[in-house]
Amino acid sequence: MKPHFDRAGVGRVRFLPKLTLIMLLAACACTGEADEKSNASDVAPTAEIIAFAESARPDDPDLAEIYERSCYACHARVGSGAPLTGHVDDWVRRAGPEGRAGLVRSTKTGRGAMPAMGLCNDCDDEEFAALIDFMAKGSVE
Amino acid sequence: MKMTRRTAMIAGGAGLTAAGVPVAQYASWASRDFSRDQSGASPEPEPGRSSWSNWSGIQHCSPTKIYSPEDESALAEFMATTDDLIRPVGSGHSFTPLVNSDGVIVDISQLQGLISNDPQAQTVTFGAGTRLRRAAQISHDLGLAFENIPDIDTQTLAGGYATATHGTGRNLPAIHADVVGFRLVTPQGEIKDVQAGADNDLLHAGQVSLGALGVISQYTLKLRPSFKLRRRVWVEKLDSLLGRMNELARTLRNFEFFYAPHTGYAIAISHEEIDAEITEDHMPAGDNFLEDLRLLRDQFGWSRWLRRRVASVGFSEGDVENVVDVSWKLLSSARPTRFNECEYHIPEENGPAAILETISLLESRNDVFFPIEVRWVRGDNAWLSPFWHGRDISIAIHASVDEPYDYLVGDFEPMFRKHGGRPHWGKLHGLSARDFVELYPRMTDFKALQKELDPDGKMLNPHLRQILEA
Repeated sequence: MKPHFDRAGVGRVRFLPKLTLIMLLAACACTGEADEKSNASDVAPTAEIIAFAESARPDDPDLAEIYERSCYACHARVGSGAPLTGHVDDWVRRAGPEGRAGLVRSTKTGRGAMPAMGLCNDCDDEEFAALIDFMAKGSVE
Repeated sequence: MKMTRRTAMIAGGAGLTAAGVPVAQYASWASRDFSRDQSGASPEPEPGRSSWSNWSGIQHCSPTKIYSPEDESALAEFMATTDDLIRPVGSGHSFTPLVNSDGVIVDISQLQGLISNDPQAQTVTFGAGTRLRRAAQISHDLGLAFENIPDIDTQTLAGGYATATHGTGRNLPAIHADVVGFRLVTPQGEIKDVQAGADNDLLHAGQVSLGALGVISQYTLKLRPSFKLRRRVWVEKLDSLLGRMNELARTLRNFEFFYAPHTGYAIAISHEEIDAEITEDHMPAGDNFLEDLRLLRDQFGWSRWLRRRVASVGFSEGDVENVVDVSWKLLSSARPTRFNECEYHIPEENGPAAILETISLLESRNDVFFPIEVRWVRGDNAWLSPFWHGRDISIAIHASVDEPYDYLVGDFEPMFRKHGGRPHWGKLHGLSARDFVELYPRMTDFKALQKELDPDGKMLNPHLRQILEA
């Protein structure tokens, strides 16, 4: 997983790109990791998506309650490493060929910084799928 | 152009040869595997049991079940009728085995949200499972704000308070100092309504409870009117920042810094209260700093001189960020990069010497890259607060989640202890009951109260017994 470090703006500190004249780093910059980065920036969220993520809630009040307590802290925050609510391109990219079933499975086992059961130990598969549908705007099947 | 890591290393080696750099040293370093052995780290749970692990993945257990009560009365009935070991869990952000249970884990995340508020008194009552970020956001909608927020805000209120989680600010106490009341469901299933002024002993024991007194279902917090902050982030040479850190900590509302080992450069962060226009569309920072530091280690870790030279060419001194927003949006942030951590709180007068020794110890190893974090915290009255009646400088050292972390305690703890430090309850340490009795003047009182509330030791897993029982 690509590391992140959005600690109060510290992540803005970037120094190595200046050293492209150093051949060693020039070589490193061509590795697969760099390719992953450029893919990630291809799906950077727009200001509209960020605003949507901060304010959107599921219509179903029970689902909204789970969303607020378990999903919101990361999926509504840019830079958390989690795909933002409403950021369809990122959800589709992460779902890959396994689609929603794969996402439900990785929610239950944990993925990246998300612990197993996605901070909702009382959720069942149906609820996880409904939350994914809401966050991915139904784009993942 | 796409290159494999091996091709990159060969190309890099060729470049270094041209530059007259010893290729053998580089090749030996670049082929080194920095990761730790994690085989068998997450054993499959026994059939019929649940599985739990902490955020960093180093703590895991197989409880008979993870119980998530819908409300306080269900929790009380469960506590009264369960004879097994009971451990409460918040968001699993502790690195120590506070939650581990081969009995039951109680997940309080359904006990969440706004319960009531008193605009006159500026107090708000939240379910104990409310995550900090959500609580801060709800408070903002009520025109109120937390005085301070830690740098991670996905913890539940209960988890943050139980472990004495803190932010930075020489005149700002850790977050549990906001607690003016709570409801405790005892191990016997009794509900105790604790209020400041009425039962101060239980209040001060329960503010930082390690989840040992029962399960807290709600907290009443004294907040303050909403406010805005200006956040500044800047890069400064370490020597220069060390020379003026005490003055910065005294004069700025919130001040902290990170030091990236083997670079000579620090990144400082300050927050100052301000009534100014909110910065429009300030996007959260990029996410490459740690990746850069890791790359610097991977490629130049074999030569301290070269690593420092490369860093000095790369770092630019001066402002990195300068933005204004409401307090809760600027004081904390997500930490998607997982790590393991040890943090000690050192009496302020010993802090500067401890910082120097920490840097020196860390830089005696070439394989480190994660920054040191240094913060300031004002004292408070909670019996098990590491900041009890003092003022501390907190020094945190980290290791990437995939790399060894045992040295964080083994090599650094004796030095931190020499300086009179107390460990963060949720971060790695190797202390036991005898140490804690010496470090905490009210520990004996806490133990007596714990025994009174939990005569059968239902809340005590081996780690709690190591802390509380001689």
